[in-house]
Amino acid sequence: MNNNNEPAAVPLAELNQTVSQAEWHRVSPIAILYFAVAVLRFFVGQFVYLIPPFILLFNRIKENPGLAIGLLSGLLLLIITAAVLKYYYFQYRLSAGTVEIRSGVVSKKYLNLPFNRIQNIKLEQPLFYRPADYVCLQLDTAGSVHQEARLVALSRPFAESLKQHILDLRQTEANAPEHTRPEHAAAVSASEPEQLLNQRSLADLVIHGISNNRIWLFLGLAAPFYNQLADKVLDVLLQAGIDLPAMFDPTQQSWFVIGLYAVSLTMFIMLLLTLFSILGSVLSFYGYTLHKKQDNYIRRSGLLTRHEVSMKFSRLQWVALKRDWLDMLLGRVNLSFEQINGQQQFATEQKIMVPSVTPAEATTLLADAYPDNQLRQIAFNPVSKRFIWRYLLLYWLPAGVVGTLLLWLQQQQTLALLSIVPLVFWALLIVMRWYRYGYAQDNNYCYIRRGYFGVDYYCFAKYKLQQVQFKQSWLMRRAGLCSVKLVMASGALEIPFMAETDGRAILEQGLYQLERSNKAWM
Amino acid sequence: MSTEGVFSNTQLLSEQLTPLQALQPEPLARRYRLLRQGVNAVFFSLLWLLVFGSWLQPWWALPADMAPLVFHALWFIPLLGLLRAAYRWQADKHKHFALREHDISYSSGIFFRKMITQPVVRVQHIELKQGPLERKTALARLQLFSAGGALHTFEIPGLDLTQAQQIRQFVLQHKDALQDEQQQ
Repeated sequence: MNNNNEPAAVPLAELNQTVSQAEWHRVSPIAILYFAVAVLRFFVGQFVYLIPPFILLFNRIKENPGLAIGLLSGLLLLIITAAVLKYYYFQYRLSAGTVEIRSGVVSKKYLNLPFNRIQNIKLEQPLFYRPADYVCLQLDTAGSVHQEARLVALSRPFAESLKQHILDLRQTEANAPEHTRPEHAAAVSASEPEQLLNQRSLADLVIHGISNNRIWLFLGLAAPFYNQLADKVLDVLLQAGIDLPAMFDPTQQSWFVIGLYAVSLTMFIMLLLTLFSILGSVLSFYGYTLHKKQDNYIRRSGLLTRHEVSMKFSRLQWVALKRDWLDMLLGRVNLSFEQINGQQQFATEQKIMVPSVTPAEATTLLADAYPDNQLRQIAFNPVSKRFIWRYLLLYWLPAGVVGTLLLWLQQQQTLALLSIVPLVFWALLIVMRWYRYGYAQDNNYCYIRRGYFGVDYYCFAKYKLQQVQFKQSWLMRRAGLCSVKLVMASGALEIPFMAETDGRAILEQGLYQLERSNKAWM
Repeated sequence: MSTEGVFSNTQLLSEQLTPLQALQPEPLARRYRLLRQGVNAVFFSLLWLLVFGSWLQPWWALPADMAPLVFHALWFIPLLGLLRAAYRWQADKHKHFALREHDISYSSGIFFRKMITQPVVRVQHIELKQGPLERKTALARLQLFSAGGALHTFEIPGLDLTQAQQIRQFVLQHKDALQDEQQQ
């Protein structure tokens, strides 16, 4: 019943069987742990709003430990039973070209997934799978969220060989639709080593944590505990001889000192947030490697749960090089290979991001994906200055005049004067937006540059276009300008206020390339 | 209607390409414009009657500050209805579509012109939609879905039903259409 005792090379033998010959298998018993964690997560997710009152009731519980222990052990028992049952009813069967999964305790589920429908293969290794080296194999299909299949506990060699088999199958199908020589192709590809494209050191991840704040993650998690946390912090500080409320009491301190305290407190909090952000970055990207094997990009990372994501090169829609203003200061780029963006909630999982690479590394990676791209050399065309006028006149001026005037009329002169600060910043944003916008194209690729203080570059092959839009207002027409929207499977990019001739050229050539080339977009 | 041109089988040479700019736009069905006018008229008439009824009805008195509001609504609603009718008439007049051998374009907008071009190769699936009123008047909406996402569904409203079916057929029979599905 259990495949994990078999040597790694054998499982592929099963894949030559027909459905009727194939046997149902159970995954390794370690999956019980996996299911237990899943059930626990479900409980926490369902009853997260009960946690704060529970904490408030903590003192009452302390007085009455018997009941609490009974409740807790009952819950534990429930979780364990659920996990064992789930494990017992989780079975899978492999045969030539398909994987079938039976699962569910009360409501039964049956999933039949032909290998050639599989879009992405992900290997996930939670912390507790690591000692015995088990992995969770996740198979994604093109369409829906509900169609994804998870084989929850396979030994790594088995999972790797299964994954390789599925990838090879796709490969051979792409090369020879009639399945002429699958064995030969498999043999060739198996011997082909993985090519290391990039890896990130801990220092890189620290830089990534500083420049890309992931603090929202922690803030979200800690939300129910804010009040308690604040009280605790004040308590601890008081014991350390720091009386925060007294420090900020204007009756006890001069304004200058309070200001000084405020500045140092802000600095301290910023430092703390940055530390958390770095921690988040290390947690998700620890041991980051990006490999290329045949036509697949494989990304591995994670400190606690190790994730492995592979993406077929043909699925790549565009390459984005993103730089925040902090990235600019630190001289780093976040490069991402983005693919089909069907479900918004999985957008971040679907793309392969290489965090905080140096510009030189980014160029190498981009050149590996698109050898004939000219992003570095090509001259970008700016968009018209009318872009600034439009946003200034249409939004900025009305909001600025009306807002400031209202404040002034309500005798709030100081506030009215102060409102100039955000207004200036807004105007600066508009100008920077205009300054950053740029577009260029060569025979095969389109290049778009945009951003505010940072700058993002997008590079995509023209034949990946899904739809194009041409927009022009009456005023733009008179000035010979237009806006163009390029829709791809990974999202839409818009170039506003570009020269009409350029816009039409981009659309015509894009359509021509995609209609003429007949290349598949995925 | 010149759908016959659509089914030509001429070879596509680069110098023969018709630029999007030079496309001959085809108007939507005239019934579509009339239908939208009718819907608009009925909606505003009903709204006006409702206000008028509440003005006339003897059962309960309107609050004092509401009375002038209701009175002004009696002339404002017809005005709004007329303005909307005029705008819709013009807007619908500016809706066009055009077919090339490999793509379909739809343009709209009076001041802000917009032209969406959907290559047939990238069409994932097609839907013909008809509401109850559209069924009565033999109109149809043609929707072409691509991988660009739900936000970028290409739609031509107000087509003659037969015309819509012809276009659907054209897309389905296009030699490159739905090739991605076959490749899977």
